[in-house]
Parts: sequence; structure tokens; C-alpha cells
Amino acid sequence: MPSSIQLTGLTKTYADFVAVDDVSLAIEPGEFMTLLGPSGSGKTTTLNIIAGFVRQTSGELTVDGASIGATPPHKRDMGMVFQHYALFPHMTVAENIAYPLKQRKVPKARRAELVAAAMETVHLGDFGHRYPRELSGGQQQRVAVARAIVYNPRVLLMDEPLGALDKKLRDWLQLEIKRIHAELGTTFVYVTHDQDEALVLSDRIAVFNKGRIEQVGPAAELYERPRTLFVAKFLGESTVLRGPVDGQGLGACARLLRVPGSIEGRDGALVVRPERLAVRKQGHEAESGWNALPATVTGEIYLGSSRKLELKLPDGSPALAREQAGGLSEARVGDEVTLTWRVADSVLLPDESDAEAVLT
Amino acid sequence: MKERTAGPALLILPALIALGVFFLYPLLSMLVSAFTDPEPGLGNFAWFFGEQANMQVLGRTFSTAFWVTLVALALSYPYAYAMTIAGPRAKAVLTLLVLVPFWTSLMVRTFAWVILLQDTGVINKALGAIGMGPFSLIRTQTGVVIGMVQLLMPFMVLPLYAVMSGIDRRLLSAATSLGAHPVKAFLQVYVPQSLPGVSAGCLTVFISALGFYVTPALLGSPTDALISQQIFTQVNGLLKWGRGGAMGVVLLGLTLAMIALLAVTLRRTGRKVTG
Repeated sequence: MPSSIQLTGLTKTYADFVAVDDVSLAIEPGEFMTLLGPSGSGKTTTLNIIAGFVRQTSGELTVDGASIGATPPHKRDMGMVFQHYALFPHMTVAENIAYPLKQRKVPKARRAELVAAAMETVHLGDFGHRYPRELSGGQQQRVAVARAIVYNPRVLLMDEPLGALDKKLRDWLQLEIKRIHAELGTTFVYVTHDQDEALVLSDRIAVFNKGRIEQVGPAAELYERPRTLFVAKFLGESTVLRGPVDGQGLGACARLLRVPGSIEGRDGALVVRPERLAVRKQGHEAESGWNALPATVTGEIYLGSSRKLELKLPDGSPALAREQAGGLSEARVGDEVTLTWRVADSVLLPDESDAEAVLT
Repeated sequence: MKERTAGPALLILPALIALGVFFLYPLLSMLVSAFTDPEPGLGNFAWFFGEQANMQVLGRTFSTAFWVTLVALALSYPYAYAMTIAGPRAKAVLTLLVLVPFWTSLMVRTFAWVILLQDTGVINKALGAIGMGPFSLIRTQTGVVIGMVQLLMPFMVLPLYAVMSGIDRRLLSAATSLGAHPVKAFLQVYVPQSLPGVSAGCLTVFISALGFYVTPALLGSPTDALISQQIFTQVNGLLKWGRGGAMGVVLLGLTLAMIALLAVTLRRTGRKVTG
């Protein structure tokens, strides 16, 4: 039976630094929850609080409704997979995987069965008698996963488990982790700074910034309906138009752009995803419900199934459009074009100048 | 190709000559005298193993070395561990505390212990002030062990630190997350990985302790003499070069046996930890 986890007002302060700032999050039983954010955003500290390695300064942590905020890590019954594998070098693969069973005084015969089953789950072949150093990075991480699931913990925590691996292996192991999650049905809490990884794996993503959660939701919701500029910029690519907002629209590039919804009396940022931007011939008139802006093509990146166009807007700010192969426009580098997008496909957010600083 | 390898090989010639003249030659002459002085045969060994007193000296030498090693390990293990977790400044201080005595003359340090351990010395006065003692520390095996532990501790701390600083302490977090009590995690995950340092340190300290002369001579009692003192007595006092040689050969043989034994166990644990 998978467990639910509830964080309520979790805060961790060091001498003069707030690492985790009033974080509240409800993780459903069996859910794959990813904590996503740049380094120093508090995601790993939050995971370490759940694991029990870091003691929260204030706030409540419950698993299945029972408070575990003061329980030492070895009594929390959670599995953890570390970025650095953390395999015991003086034990064989089988001994490593049997270690948590030994701590739980599982009889020897049963231990061997469970170890074999866990190795099966992570598709580790006949490696039981080897030492960790004899395995590749990807194989070592499989051992670490097997060791963390062999005792059927109520929660599996993963701290950037693929961070030390190369791209190809990472892509493949992502799918493996997804498969293992589906097979076990255990609640997973996964920490990463890699947005693609978060999109591939998660049921829901909690985006962290400066110790706080900016937004929690399924990947599609975060991508299509970001609630802050930080989320919009951290997850995926986008074109951002900034300017003052009034009842009529947003003023940018000496034009009044129409916006979905409104924010009163503040500077706004209009966010458009690259696949929502259409590149048209210069002078193209905006249809009703659409915006149009002149732009210059400054770069072209051919990606096979699609191509990306880098553009410059009249005020000098950059824009990015993505065209699917089969629907390519005739625009080339240096061309003057008109960019159009449907108002409903853009998102209006309050302008936060500090969203930039974190990302650079 | 041949000339290229001959050049560097010549560089070790001075060291080989020095070893030959100052180490191998005396060693061989000791061996020879053990079997030939005063007459050829095994007489010197028969004398050594025949005398009850000699066996007692040998036993006492080994028990002293054993206790010195044990106490040095008990003190050095937590000390070396503290060095690995200390901040840069504390680490520098801890390292200095190990090395400064190391750079001080062995004779000076032994005399310092003579002063400290006397019946009216600093230690007994301090103990007296809190209503204990006085204990007879000097001219006892305890005094010898105390002095030798302090003198030999760097040889225990340094190999321990070298091995321990290579151990990933994050593995302890991993072990507790897997359900191990922190003490168990330390014993099952950290200690096994530190064993190469333990055996290297113990080997060095034990073997050095077996041949110690100055410290037992100054801090111990003549009735509790160790084998190196007996060799000195035989050679310098009684001019029995053959008997001294035989005792030297026995000590050397036992030491080499110890090294062989530890090398085997070291290789076995070493294969597990580092391959």
C-alpha cells in the first residue's frame, strides 16, 4: 500500500540563510512527484528533510497522517537513491542489496529470494558476486535502485540519480525509472534540475525557487499555464514581452498587444511558447483574436523533425519560434517577417525582474 | 633501448652501496657471529632458548609491543577520524599536534616522560591534588607503555588518516536510510573500509615497539628489561657478541614472520576495498 506524504509549512534556516521557506506540499499515494529547480533552490534540502538527514527548523512532516518530523532516518522506512550511488565498496552487489534486509533481520533464505527479485526488477543480470567498482555508472545506479526497493519501503526518494551519467544513458534510464515506478506503484519523490527529465517522469512537478515552491502541477499545466515568470522560463523555452498593462492590453515594441485576462496597475510579461509563434510574410495583418509583431530572423537551427528560428523584435529583445518539419515557412536568416500568435495561446504574468537573475 | 634503461638504474647505485655498507654488512656479520662466536654451531641459540629468563624477556617484549599497539590504536582511531571531519583550521592544528613531537628528538621526549612520570612528578602531584595516588609509573611496564605510545602515535595516526580521508562518509547516510542504526552503520560500513589503515599502522607501531631501546631503558626497570636491552647487555656489558647476534636473529625472524602474516591479511582486505 503506497503512502501519502504531507509537508506543511516546512522551513529550514541556517545561520543567515533560508534554505527552505514555508514549503507545503501534499504528495498522493503512488504518485511520482518531482521537485524541480535550479541549484540552491531548496529542493535537495526538502528531500533531505523528508529522508531525515536534515532536521527542519519548523513545520510539519507526516506520512500517512502520522508525524515523522522527529523520527531518525533509520526508522523512517524510506528508500533513497543518491546521485553518487553510495554503494558500499567493500561489499558485493548482492551484499549491498541484502544490506537493508539484514538490518531488518530478514531470514537468510528469504533475503536471497528478495535480492534476486529486486535485481530482476532493475534488469541487473548476473552481477551479484561482483564488486561495485567493477560495474559501469549506469549499472551501479541500478544496484542502488535495487538496494532501495528490495525491502519494499513506503516511499522511494531519489536525489538527481541520473546526474552523473551521460546523456544517452540518462535518457534510457529515465524510461527504466518510469517503468519501475509503474511496476512497484510506490510513492516516488524525485529531485532534479533537468526540466526534460521532470517532464518525462513526473505525475506532478513542484517547481522550487529560492527555497519556495513556485507552482505545483502536472507537466502540461506547468508548461501551458505557468503561474509565474520563473516557472515559464525554467520549464521550456519561451518569448517574453514586457511592458505596462492596462485594460486595453500590454504595451511593448511601440504597440498595444492584446492579452488574455488582465493584471491591474503593474508591469506585465506576455509569455509565448515557440511552437505557438507563427512566422509570416512581412506585413501580414493580424486576424481577430491574434497579435502580430514585426521581427528579423537572426538565426536558424535545423533539428530534423523541426527547426528553430531565432528572431529579433523591434525593441531588440529576442524571440524564438519552432516550426514542425512539413510546415516550414520560407523565412531565412536576415529576412524581415511578421510574427503572429493567438491571444489565447499566450500567458500574461506579473513581471518579476528577479526571475532573470536566478536563471543566468 | 638497453642504454636508456641502464641510465636510470645507475641512479639507485649510491643508495644500494649505502645499504650494503651500513645495513647489509652489519646484518650479515651479526648472522655470522650468531652461528660462529665463540665456536661454530647452534650453541648461542641453544643458550637463548634454554634460559627461562630469556623466554621471559621475549614474552615481555611482545606483550609490551602488543599493549603499545592496542593503546595507540585506541587513541589514534578517534583522533584520525576527528582529523577527517574537522574544518581546515582545526585539521591544521590536529596535524601539527601529531607532527611536532615527531620532529622532536626521541631522547628529549623520553626524558620529558621521565620528569612527568616520577613519583614526585607532575602526573602524581596532579593526581595527589584530587586525592589519588601516588602511583608508581616510572620503572614499570605501564610507564614504558605510556612513553612508547606517545612516541609511536604518529606512525598510527598518519596511515589511519591517509585511509580514512579516502572514505566517503556519505555512505553512512546511505546506510542509515537503509535502516541501519548510526552505530551499526559506522561499524558495518566505515570500519571495514578503514582496516587497511589499521593494519598498516599496527604493523608499523608493533614492529617499531619490538626493537625500542632508549625508552624502555630510561622509563622501565632493569628487572623488566626488553630484548633490545638484553642484547645491549650481552654485547656491551658481557662482550658476548654471539649471544647478542642470536637474540638479534630471533627478533628479526619473528618480525619478518609478523610482516608476512600481516601482508597476507592486508592483501585479503585490500582486495576487497580497493582491488
